[in-house]
Amino acid sequence: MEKTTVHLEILTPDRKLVDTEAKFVSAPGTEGEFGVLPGHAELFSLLRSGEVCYEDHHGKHYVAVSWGYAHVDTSTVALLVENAERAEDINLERAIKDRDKWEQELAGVTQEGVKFFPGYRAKLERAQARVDVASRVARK
Amino acid sequence: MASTREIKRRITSVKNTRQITKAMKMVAAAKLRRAQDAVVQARPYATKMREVVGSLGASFGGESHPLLARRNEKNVLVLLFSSDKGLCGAFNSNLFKAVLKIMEENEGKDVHLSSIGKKGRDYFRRRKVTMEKAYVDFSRNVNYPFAASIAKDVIEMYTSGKVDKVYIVYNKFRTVIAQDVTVAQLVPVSLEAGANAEEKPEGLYEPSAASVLDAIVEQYVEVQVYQALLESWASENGSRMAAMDSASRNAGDMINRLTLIYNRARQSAITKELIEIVSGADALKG
Repeated sequence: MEKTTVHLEILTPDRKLVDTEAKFVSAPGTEGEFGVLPGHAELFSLLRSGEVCYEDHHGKHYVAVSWGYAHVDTSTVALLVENAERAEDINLERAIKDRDKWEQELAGVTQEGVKFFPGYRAKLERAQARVDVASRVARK
Repeated sequence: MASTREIKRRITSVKNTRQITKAMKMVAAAKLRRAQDAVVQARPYATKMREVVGSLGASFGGESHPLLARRNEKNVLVLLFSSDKGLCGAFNSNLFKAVLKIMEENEGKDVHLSSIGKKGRDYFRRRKVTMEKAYVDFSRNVNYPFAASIAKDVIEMYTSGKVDKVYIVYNKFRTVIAQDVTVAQLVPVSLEAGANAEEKPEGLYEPSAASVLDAIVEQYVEVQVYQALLESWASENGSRMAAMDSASRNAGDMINRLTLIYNRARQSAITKELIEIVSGADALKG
């Protein structure tokens, strides 16, 4: 019988956040969002900050991830990321505050502060991803 | 024989010492537990990383990245994971021996040293080593960002051509009482293509193979530093716990011995007094 699930692991340097069988996984690649179904061809992809969505037998789950990369082959998906948080673990209000803070920082960057720009951008992207993911759960 | 009062004072002081060593043992044990957890938690990521880097290496071969390229070794950097505090048995001295050995082996080359922990810095400051960086007071910082910042410094030094080879020296955690001093080459990164070299992954790379390799190799270095940091931290606390345990036991033995001497002294004092009284009474009678 064809396998109908892929083994999904989301790993950060200090722990293993997710280790499950998933029917479907989507992840934010640097070249755009991509989805993985069982039997996917081998793929290495860099990831940007964003939202990972996967569906296992409990339903859909969302995880906010920051920079990292993905290794996909026919039966496994391994996401190695610097930070990962489950939607349920993020405090939406605080995430929004955090995002607004970085938005302001970014808006306030002056000519000589341009070198901070990429750093702020990355922080903002991460904060935005956390907000997006957290609001997915909050809306339910 | 020392007076009973003096012995009593000794006993009290040894008891105080034992209290302290016991407390330190407890603290080390608590930290050790957490450190061990961290080591275990970090393992899956590192293992996966090694797999991925290994299979990438198989399809690329060396020389394709500055951190992979071997160079003529003139300057060698040793990244030493020591401790900030002492009282942890042979933890540091074993490390120093390993570093001295590296220095011997690399005679004629310039050996640079970066030390994590005060002990390493202080020991080698007096020797003819070029000190690069010292990361001290790190006990609150045993985390990934700290390891990443160390790795960035190392990569910086390597790519700028300041050093041509980097070793890491740390205590690998085996058991609470046993640590293995480990010397490993950090940069240039050696990709062990070995095991499954024949099945070259023909996978897709996004955005491109080169940029994936680029990102991964650097992170691979970070992860290795992180692992060394965790292992070293666990070893330090294990070593300290063992050292403090034996110190407490020694203090206990000493207290027993002193108590024996004390009792003997007390008894002989009483006997002496009795004899004096009896002979005094005898003299009056006589």
